[in-house]
Amino acid sequence: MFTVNRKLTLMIVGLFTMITQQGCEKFLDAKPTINLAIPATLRDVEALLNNTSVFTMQYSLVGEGSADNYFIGNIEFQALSSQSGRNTYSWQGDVSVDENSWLALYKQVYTANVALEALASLKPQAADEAGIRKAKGTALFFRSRALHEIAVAFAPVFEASTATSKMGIPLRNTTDFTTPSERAGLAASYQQIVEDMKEAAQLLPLSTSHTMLPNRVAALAYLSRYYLSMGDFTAAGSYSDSVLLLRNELLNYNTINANADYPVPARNTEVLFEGLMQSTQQLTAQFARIDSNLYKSYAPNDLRKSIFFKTATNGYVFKGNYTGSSWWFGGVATDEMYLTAAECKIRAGEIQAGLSLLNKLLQTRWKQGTWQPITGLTASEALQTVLAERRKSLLMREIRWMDVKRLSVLETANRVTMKRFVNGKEIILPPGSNRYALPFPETVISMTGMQQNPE
Amino acid sequence: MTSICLYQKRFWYWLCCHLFFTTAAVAQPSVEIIIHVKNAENKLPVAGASVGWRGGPLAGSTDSNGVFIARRNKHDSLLQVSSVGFASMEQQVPVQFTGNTLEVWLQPIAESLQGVTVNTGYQRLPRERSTGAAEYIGRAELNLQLGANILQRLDGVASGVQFDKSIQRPAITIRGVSSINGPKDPLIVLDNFPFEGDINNINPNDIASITVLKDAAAAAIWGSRAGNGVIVITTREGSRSEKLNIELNTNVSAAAPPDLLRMPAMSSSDYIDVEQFLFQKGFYRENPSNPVAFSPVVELLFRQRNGQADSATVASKLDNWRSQDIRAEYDKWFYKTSLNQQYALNLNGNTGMMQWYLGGGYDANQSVLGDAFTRAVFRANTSMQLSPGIRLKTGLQYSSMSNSSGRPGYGSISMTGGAMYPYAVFADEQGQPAIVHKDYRQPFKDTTGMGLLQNWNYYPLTDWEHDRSGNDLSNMLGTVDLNMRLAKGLNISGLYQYEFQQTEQEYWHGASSYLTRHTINLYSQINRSNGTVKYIVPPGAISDMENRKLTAHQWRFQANYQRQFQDHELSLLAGAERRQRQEQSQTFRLYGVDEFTLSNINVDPVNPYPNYVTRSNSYVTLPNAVGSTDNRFVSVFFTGGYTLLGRYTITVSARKDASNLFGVESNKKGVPLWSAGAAWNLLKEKFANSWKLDELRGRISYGYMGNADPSRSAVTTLRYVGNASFTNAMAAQIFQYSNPTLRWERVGTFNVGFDLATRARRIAVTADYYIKNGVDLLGTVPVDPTTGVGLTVVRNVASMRGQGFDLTVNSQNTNGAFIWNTQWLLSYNQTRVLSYYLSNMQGRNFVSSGNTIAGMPGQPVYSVAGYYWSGLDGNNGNPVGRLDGKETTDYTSIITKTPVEQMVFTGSALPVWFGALMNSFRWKGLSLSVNLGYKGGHYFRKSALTYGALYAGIAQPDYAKRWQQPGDELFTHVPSMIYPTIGNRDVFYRDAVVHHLPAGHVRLQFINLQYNWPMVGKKSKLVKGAELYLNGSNLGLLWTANNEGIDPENPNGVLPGPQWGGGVRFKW
Repeated sequence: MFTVNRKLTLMIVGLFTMITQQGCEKFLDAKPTINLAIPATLRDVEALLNNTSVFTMQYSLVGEGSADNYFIGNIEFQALSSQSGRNTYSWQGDVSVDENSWLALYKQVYTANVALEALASLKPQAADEAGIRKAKGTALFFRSRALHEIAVAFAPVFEASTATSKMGIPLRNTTDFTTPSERAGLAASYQQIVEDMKEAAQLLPLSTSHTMLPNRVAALAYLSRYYLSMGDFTAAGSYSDSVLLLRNELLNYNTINANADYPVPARNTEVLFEGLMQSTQQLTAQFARIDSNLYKSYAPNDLRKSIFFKTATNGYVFKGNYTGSSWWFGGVATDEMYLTAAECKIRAGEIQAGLSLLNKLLQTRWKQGTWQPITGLTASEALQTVLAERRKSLLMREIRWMDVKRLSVLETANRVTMKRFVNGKEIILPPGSNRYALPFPETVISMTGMQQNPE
Repeated sequence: MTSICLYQKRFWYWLCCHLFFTTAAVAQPSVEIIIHVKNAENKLPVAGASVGWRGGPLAGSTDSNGVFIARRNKHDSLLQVSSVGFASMEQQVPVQFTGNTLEVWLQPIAESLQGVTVNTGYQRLPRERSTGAAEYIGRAELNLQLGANILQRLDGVASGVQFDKSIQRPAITIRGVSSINGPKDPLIVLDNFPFEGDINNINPNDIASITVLKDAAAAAIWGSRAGNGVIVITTREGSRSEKLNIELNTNVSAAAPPDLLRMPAMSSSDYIDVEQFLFQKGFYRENPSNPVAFSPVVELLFRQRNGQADSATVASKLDNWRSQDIRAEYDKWFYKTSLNQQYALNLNGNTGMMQWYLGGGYDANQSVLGDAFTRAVFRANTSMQLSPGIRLKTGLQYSSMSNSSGRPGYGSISMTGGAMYPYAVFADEQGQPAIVHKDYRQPFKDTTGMGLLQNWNYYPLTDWEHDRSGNDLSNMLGTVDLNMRLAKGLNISGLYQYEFQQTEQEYWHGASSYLTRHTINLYSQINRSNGTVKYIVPPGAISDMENRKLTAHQWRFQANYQRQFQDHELSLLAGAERRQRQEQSQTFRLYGVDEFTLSNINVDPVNPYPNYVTRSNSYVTLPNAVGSTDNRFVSVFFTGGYTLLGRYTITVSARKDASNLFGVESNKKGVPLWSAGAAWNLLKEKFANSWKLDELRGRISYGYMGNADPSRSAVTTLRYVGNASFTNAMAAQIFQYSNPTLRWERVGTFNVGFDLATRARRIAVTADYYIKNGVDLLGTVPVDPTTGVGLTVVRNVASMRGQGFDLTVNSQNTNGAFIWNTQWLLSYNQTRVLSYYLSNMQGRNFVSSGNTIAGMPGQPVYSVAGYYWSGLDGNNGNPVGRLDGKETTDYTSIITKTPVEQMVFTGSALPVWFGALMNSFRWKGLSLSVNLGYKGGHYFRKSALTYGALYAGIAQPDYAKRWQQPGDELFTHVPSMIYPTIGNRDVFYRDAVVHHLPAGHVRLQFINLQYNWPMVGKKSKLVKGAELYLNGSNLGLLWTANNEGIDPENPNGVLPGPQWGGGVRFKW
């Protein structure tokens, strides 16, 4: 009996030993969740950067909400449910944007940093080399783009002469959330924004499979926009020229059905990089109407008038999104490059060359055969014309606020004084106002001790 | 991880060496008798009973299974068995007895806790040798309440265990909360292993007892999962008698529908007034490109403004609507009496070699809303003595449950995002389904389709019939426990449990359900010139299916050593275990399903299509996904006890866990969790000889338990989320941000207590005082949004200290023909935050209704806190707050600038005092138990009116109490109505302390009336017993500390009506 007992015992112990002892470490090596990963491979990094809902679909409209392309009636203003919407519109109060809009942009910076750190620790394999270059370029592109967006909203205007003494924005280049945030100088902020994009331009391929995935042309286009916002017209002009050498197609507006709900097709030939922006309450058709003087400034034969706008009670609403849908366009397109190149040429004294670019653009914007090319203008007339057409072409693309800001430190004639009527009172935002640098969200200030923008 | 594997190897090495040595020792031929010592009352084995032959030395004591193997010499004929709490027993063993097993039944001295074993899930310890705080609840107490959920039956009978009806807080806590952000539920152990499935799989009729392990000495053996306490559920086993026992239990209960008209509500007339007011102000904006729904009144006012309705019609319609009440509609159409039925049959017996138990149960419940629940459970437990040294126990359970949805409950029907007009009716005068406005404007719905679209109207009266959800769940559990005796006192056992659970969930949106018609319409493309429709979403039902499979394997190997040498008693247990829990899930959606053939039509999820209403492009949702998780754990554990002279006991235990969860670093950091305890049995001392007591024991223990949160990771992890919108490229998102300082939470518990019983246990008292220190607790703290990780992060930032006591007094007030027993449970618990990393001292971060943790050092973990309240301004009805000692109505400043020191912390949101008082009366066969539950010393926050929500269409019950003219501020705190609303004025008022009310209350928990049929002359061999019982639960509040009559446990929800039931229990 006991021999049986002993054999059985040994057998059972042996069995259990086998089950429980076999590769204790191996047992614990299993991946706990199939769709979770520690970012360690190129594939992981690419998947992170492919996330369009982080990088290309979450844009605040602070630039457009504070700009002068629209107005809100008094009753509508009162019916706005969001305090930050009312503040943004009336340039008042401590609250400009809620912390979520701020977070959405810095989340892009963080995610790009995760990708860059993972790429740095990746053991490079020959087969991956092109992929790694592209992924690094993509991460730098997104980080730069998000930080520029923040600089346009929250930093003062960039002027080369004063940039070293002015406050910029917090630059975060780490994934460690315990590292405190500090405001970098304005010069340092723009330097990183520009350097990141320059490196991205070197790393990115000339084209990608989708307009939401960045490519070299888009990086050059952003560099052109950055330099324009910094008042460096030589660099802005040369980057826009490089873009136009690579991509200069224009969409002929005569081919567009103006009666469609959203007439401009998505991913049309002009789109270099597609970013989508969500409309905030005060900019929706229930509240916002297009500035009436702006609307009047379009000539009857200007197709933009019928393609961009539709009639609504008490005015007009915008429908000319370069997204073919209710999303607002927040990327770059060749039309912007034509306008930037034209402005830079005119400022450099090449008036004819500038106007010829403008003519080439506007020819596609007017009814077939009605466009009379502009010629024989003085330098300042040409400049005024190109700026006016810039506003008329690029509205509701988050560009106007940047333009109003940069113009405020240029020639007096082109400075803009924005006005609002709220509760029967006129509110004015004159050039040089501190309000051009919107206040940081209050929680950011109280948590970091960073210096708030002056009121 | 490495180290724990090393421990495991050492343990095996030790065991194997030992094994060869001891098996050799066992192999000596000898005449042995296996003696099973059992409690004659509850049939449970009696561990630690002293066994010996008369005239010989004390041979030894029984092991944890109540087994002792006695060597028998020729002259040994009288076996002596004794154990604390039992009458000593002498049993003749005739010389001609040649069997190798013998059962000895010990009679408990009194109907008492004596002889009760503390089942830790690893071993069964006699209560006398336990140094920890553990609560034992037997079958009789569990049977006092009805219901399908076993844990709910602990409510009112287990001391220190608290049930919370708030959805946001943990439902069951043992001695308060031990964690701030980690898991807060106690560990549920069924027999030997943690139960991973749905608790409803357990049939209460199969349960013999429940042990609640409360302090470190009792629970630390469970290591990193014991931080919140452990509830060990023990199933019933086979009987000793060779006769077949059959037991039948069946009951039926019912509850009346809740009294909805008692719910606070805003009157339709007030609601219409507000709509008219807002209409005049131009608040309602018509938006042709997105015609979001307006209520009937607003539509009528638009028609009036457009000259489509005259003022007489408008007035008469408004008058009609003013008299309607949606509560009455819900009551009339959706609420009915509930009905619950329960049937249970079990059989048990003993075939000599095998003891067995078979149980079967069936439950069918139908709620007041017609939600149906059915469950069938089958359970088989066996215990076989394979050879004198080998015992095999098996357990098998199969259960099958199904749930299906019923009618909509109060508040669930809404127009847009929670907004609902209270003058809605669900049926017209003829009883036909009435239209309720939903999503888009009714005039738009009426005209836009030109007969080409699906009917776009919403009919709540019948919609639930077409839009249903249900799930089917089956669970299988199999356990094998092989126990072998290797040498005197040394047993090894190998245990294995397999669990498999499969859940199928379906949300069926029938072809005629509103949701389906709405979805089809949104994706329809109408060609108005030729009157055709192109369907992007095909007509037919939409079906969402979710399948989940859970497979869990648990292996355990342990060695027990138990010996008594003269005055010394030693008990050691060491072992190792592995656990693997795999879960797979599958979610998919079918469109265009034909209800009869179940054929479906594919949709195109890749290309965007224009929304019929807004014209913006969007994708057809196809939330198809598969998921798979695999959690693995490896643990080693040890526990030991030593008793000297039966008086002094010390125990120690230790455990270390490792897992495959992300973050190897945090696994390495895991320190072993341990406990130490001591107990002193005073009655064994000489000086206590004259004390007229049955029991007097003191206990003290200290140790650390852990709280592992499998969802946290120290390194950045990302999650694949399928294809990105627009690009369709494989995309991932950051799931957890890098957090290199992450550590597991630990809870240190100090416990000191005593058990005292007077003679015959007329009065028995158990009292425990404890201190719980939670360290390295994870806390949510606001973080600088610039970091990009979010608005808050979870870090090891907090520590907290809980202290309290649990007191149980059982008193037998009268004896004799009429018996009156009282059981009084009283618990005190105050858990306060000791430290909390605060990056932000803004007061507004500490506003809490008590459902979230504010983390203010010195304050209770769940605190009710808010802004100082200075009443209403008598001139304009504005709420007045205070900042820096000055009264102010600058709400933005109050909210953004109030420092935390100026916030008012009203008190704990969790009861500080709680317990139950149960009186039981017995006269002949009739017994009555009445249980009162009470809680006190805590607060709750009443919901407050906000004008922002009111204007968004959400009815505000307090509207009628608003300030309207000077003087009103004397009897109301509801602010005046202003337009446009100021968001921060609403926020300040909502968060002000004026809404904090004391939450103390006394509740009539349950009543149980039972009649035991006297078995006349006990001649009836057929029927051994019969009981008839009646039961009432949810009987309502007897007293509340707040004078508004609000049930603090359910301040906003629908209060269920009392439930009454009755049943019979037969034994054959």
